[in-house]
Amino acid sequence: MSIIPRAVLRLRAVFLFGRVQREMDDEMRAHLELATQRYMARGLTAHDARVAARREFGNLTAMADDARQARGARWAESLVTDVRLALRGLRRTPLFAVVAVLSISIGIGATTGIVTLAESLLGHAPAGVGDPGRVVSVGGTRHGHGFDTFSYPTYTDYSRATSLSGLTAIDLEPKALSLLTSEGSVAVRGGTVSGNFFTVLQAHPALGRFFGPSEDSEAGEASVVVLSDRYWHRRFNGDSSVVGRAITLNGTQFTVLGVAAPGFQGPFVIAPDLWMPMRASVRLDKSEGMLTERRDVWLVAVGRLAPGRTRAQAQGELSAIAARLRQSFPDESDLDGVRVDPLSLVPGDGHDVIAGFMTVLLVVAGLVLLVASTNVAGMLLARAARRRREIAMRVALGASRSRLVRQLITESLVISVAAAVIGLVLSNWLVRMVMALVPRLPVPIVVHPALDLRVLVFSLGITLLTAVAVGVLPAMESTAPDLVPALKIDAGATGRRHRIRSVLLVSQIAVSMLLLIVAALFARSLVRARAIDPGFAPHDVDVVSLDLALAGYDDQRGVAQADALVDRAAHLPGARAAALSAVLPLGGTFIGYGAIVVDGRPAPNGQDGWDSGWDVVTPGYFEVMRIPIARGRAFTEADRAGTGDVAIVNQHFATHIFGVADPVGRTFHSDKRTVTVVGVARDSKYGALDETPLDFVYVPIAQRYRSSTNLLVRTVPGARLAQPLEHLVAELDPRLPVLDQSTMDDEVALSLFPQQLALLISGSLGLVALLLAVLGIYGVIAYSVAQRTREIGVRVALGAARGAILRMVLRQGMVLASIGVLTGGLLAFGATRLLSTYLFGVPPTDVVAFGGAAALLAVAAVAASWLPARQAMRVDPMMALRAD
Amino acid sequence: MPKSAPLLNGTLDLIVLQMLRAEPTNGYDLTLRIQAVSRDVLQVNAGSLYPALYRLEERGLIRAAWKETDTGRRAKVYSLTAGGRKHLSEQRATWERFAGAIAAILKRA
Repeated sequence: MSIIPRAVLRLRAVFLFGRVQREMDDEMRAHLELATQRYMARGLTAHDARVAARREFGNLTAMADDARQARGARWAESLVTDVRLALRGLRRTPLFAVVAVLSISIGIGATTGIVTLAESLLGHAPAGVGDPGRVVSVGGTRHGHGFDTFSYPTYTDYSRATSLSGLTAIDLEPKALSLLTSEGSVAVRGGTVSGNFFTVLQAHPALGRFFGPSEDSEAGEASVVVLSDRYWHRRFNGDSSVVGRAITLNGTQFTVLGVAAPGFQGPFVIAPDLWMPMRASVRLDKSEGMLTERRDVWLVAVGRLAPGRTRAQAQGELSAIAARLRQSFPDESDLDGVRVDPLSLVPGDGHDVIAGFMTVLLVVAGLVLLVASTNVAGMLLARAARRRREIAMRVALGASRSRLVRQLITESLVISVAAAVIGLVLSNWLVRMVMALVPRLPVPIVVHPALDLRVLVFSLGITLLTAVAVGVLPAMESTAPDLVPALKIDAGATGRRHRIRSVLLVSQIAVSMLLLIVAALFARSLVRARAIDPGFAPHDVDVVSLDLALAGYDDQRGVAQADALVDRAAHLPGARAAALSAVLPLGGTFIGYGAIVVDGRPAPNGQDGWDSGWDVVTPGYFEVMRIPIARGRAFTEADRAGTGDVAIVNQHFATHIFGVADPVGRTFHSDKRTVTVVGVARDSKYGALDETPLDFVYVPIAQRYRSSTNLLVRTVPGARLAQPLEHLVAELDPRLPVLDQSTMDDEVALSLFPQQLALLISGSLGLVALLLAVLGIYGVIAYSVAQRTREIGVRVALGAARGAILRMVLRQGMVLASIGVLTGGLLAFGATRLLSTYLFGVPPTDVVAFGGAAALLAVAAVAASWLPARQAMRVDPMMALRAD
Repeated sequence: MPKSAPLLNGTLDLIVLQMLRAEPTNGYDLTLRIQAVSRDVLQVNAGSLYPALYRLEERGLIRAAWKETDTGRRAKVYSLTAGGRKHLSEQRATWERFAGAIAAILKRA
C-alpha cells in the first residue's frame, strides 16, 4: 500500500473515529455471535453460550481501546478524553478553576483592551486613504519640539519639494459654520483643505465627486463642499439627491459636490463634517490675507512621497527650504524648523505622549497577566503535589508517561482557552467603558476602536506558553520514573516543589507590590490634581460656545449683541451672573495679540517683547468665575471703544513683566496699541492644572471685539440652564447656532481624564493583583500547614504552646510577604521614574504610595495566613501522629 | 494490561499472515484455526488479535471485506495482499534463521 491510502486510513481514523468505532464494534459483535453459535452447537444454552463467548473474548472496552490505538484514532480520542478529564478535574475544584480562569482572563482582557484603544488612536491607518505607508505629515517645530502650524506661503514653498509627489494643506481644527436648515441654524464643523486634498490622500468618493486643485485656484475658485459619510447620514438621512444641491453656510451658497467614502475622515483623528477648498473658506471669513500673510500660521500639511523617495529625503529637503525661509524672512517666520513624520491619526508630540501613556497602562496590564500566570502556576504545582500519589499509582499501573503529561498540560490549556474567551468579552467591555468615560471634547474627535485580533492572538500565545510552561513542570515531576518515594510517604521532592512555589509566590508578591505602588501613585496624583485650586470656581457654571460672526454681524453689531446676550442670560431664572470669554480656562487653547512691550523692561533673550496668554471678556467675567481682583478694578461698562485701551493683568504678569506687585496705572504696548493696566487679577490656571504660573492679560470685548466666544453663566447651585440658554440664543438670532454646550466642571474633568483613566486601569488591576496575592499566600501557607501536620502534632505533643504554633505559621507568611514587598519596592524604585511625566504633583518615589502599598500587602499577608495558622493551632496531636 | 514483547508481537503478525495465506478468513475463525494448528499451545486472545489485524491492514499487508459466512452471518473477512505475501516470505526467512540460531544455542548449552 502506498503512503497515500495509508494516510487516508489514518486520517479517516482520526476524523471519523465515530464511524471507525462503529465498524469495529460490528466486527467484534460478529465475532461474539460466531463464538456463541459455536458454543450452542456444542450443546450449551443460548445464555451460557453467550457468557462463555464473552469470557473467552475478554474485556471488550480495554480491547476496543487497544484496537483503536492500532487504528491511529487514539490521538483524537485521547484529546477529547483529556479535555473531558480536565473539565471534570476543574469542576471538582471550582474555586481553583474560577480564580485561575478569571485572573488570567482579566490580564488578557486588560492587555487586549488597552492595545485596542492605543491602536485606534495610533496604530490604524486612516480609513479611505490610499497607500498610507507613503503618506507623511508635515508640521513646524520650535526649538526642535512640537507639531506647529505654518503659513500658507510657507506651505506653497514646501510644496515645491521634489521628494513629495503632492502636499496638501490642512487647517487642523475644523471651523464652526452655521448651516441654514428649515429648523433654524445648526452648527457644522467644516474642514479647510487645499484643493489637492483628496488627490494626495488618494481617497475615493462614495457619491458624486471631490473638488480638485482647479476649484481652489484663482481662476476656478468655487464655493463647493464634500460631505463626510457620517454627516451625510446624520443631517441628510443618506439622501443621495443631496449631490448637486445648494446649501447655505454662514449665509453663503455652497454646492454639495459629493460624499466621501464611509469611514473617511481625512488623515487625522479630528473628523470634520464636511470639507471645503481653502480659497472658498477664507473668502467666507473675509480673511483672504490668510493666503498671503506669512504672519498667519494656521496650517499643517500632509504629503505623499514621490516614487522611490524616502521620508528622510523629504525631511532633508523641507528642512533646507525652512532654513532658506528663515534667512529670507527673519522677521516674518517664527518657525525654526519642520518635521516630516510618518502618518499618524494623532500627529506630532501628541503621538508620543499617547504612546507613552498607553505603554505604561499596557505594562501594568501585562504585569497582571504575569501575576495571574504565576498564581496559576503555583496552584497547579500544589494540585500536582496533591495528585502525586495518584499519578505515581497510574504510572505504576502502566499508564504511559507522555499520556499523563499530555493530560496534565491539557488542564492548563483548558484554563487558558476559557480565559481567552472571557478575556475577549472583558476587553470589549473595557473599550466600551473607556469610550463612555471620555468627557465631551471641544473638537470632533472620532476613533474607531476595533478589537485587535493580533493582540488577542498575542495574549493568547503568552497564556498558552505560560500554561504549557507551568503545566510541564509539575507534570514532568509527578510522572518522573522514580516512583517508589512517591508511593511512600511524601518526602524529598515535596520540599523542592514547595521551594519552587515559594519563589513563584515571592515574585508574584513583588509584582503585586509594583502594581499597587503604581496605582497608589496615580491615585495620589489624581487627589493632588483635584485638590489643586484652579484659581476660579468651576462648579455651577454653564458654558455655551458661540461664534457671533456666524450670524453675519460686523464688529459694532457684534458688541451690541454680545451685551444683549449677557444681559438676557443673567436674568434667566436660576442664573446669578453671566459673561463672555474668548477662551475657556483649561480648554487647552490660547489666543494672542502679539508681543508685549514694556518701556524699561526689555524682554529676555533679545526677543522683541514679552509673551503672554490673552483673553477677551465682558466686565462680569471675574464675578462669574469668582476670580478675585487683587488690586485696582474690574472692567466696567465705561471701558468701550473710543475710550483708552485698558487691560487687567494677572499677578504673575505684574511681578514678572512689570517687576512690581502693583502695576495699576502703568502701560504696555502691543498690536500697535498702548494699553493701560487698570487692575490685577489673582493667578489662576489657564491651560492645564499642572502648569507653572503663566503671564496672562484680559482685555474687554468692547475694545477688542472677537466673534468666537463662550457664554458663561453662573447658576444657583445644582441648576443647569442648557435648555433655556439654547432657546435664548435662538431667540436672539435664529441665524446664530450654538456650537457647543458644557459646564466648567466638564472642562476640569476633561483636563483630569488621563489621570482618571490611569487610576481606573491601574487601580482595578492593582486590586486584582492584591486579591491574587492573598490567594497565593493562603494557598502556600495552607499547603505547608497540611504538609507539616505531623510535625506540628509532634511539637504540640512535646508541649509547644498553641500561641507559638500560631506565630510560627504567621511568621512564615510574613517572611514570604516581606521578601516580596522588599523586592517589589526595589523594582518600583527603579521603575516608577518612568511614570513621572504622567504624575501630578507626586514624586515617583512618593513615600506614602510606597508605604501604603507595603502596609496593604502586609495586612493582606497576615489575613491570608490567619486561617491556616488557626488550623495549625488546632492540630490534635493524637490525630496528627496517627495519620498515614 | 501487560503489553506483548516486540518479539511476540512480530510472531503474532507472522502467524496471522501465514494463516491468511492459506485461506482468507474472519477474525473468529482465525482464533480457532490458530488454536487448532498450534495444537492448543497458542491461545490467541481477541484482545491481541484484532489490534494485530488492524495494524496489518494499516500497513497494507492484508485487506478486509464484509462477507457472508457459511452460517449466513456477516463477518469481516481478511485476505493477504501482494505486499503481505512478500512480507511474509521475508519474515519467514528471518524467523527461520532466528529460530535456527536459538535452537543451535539451546542445543549446545
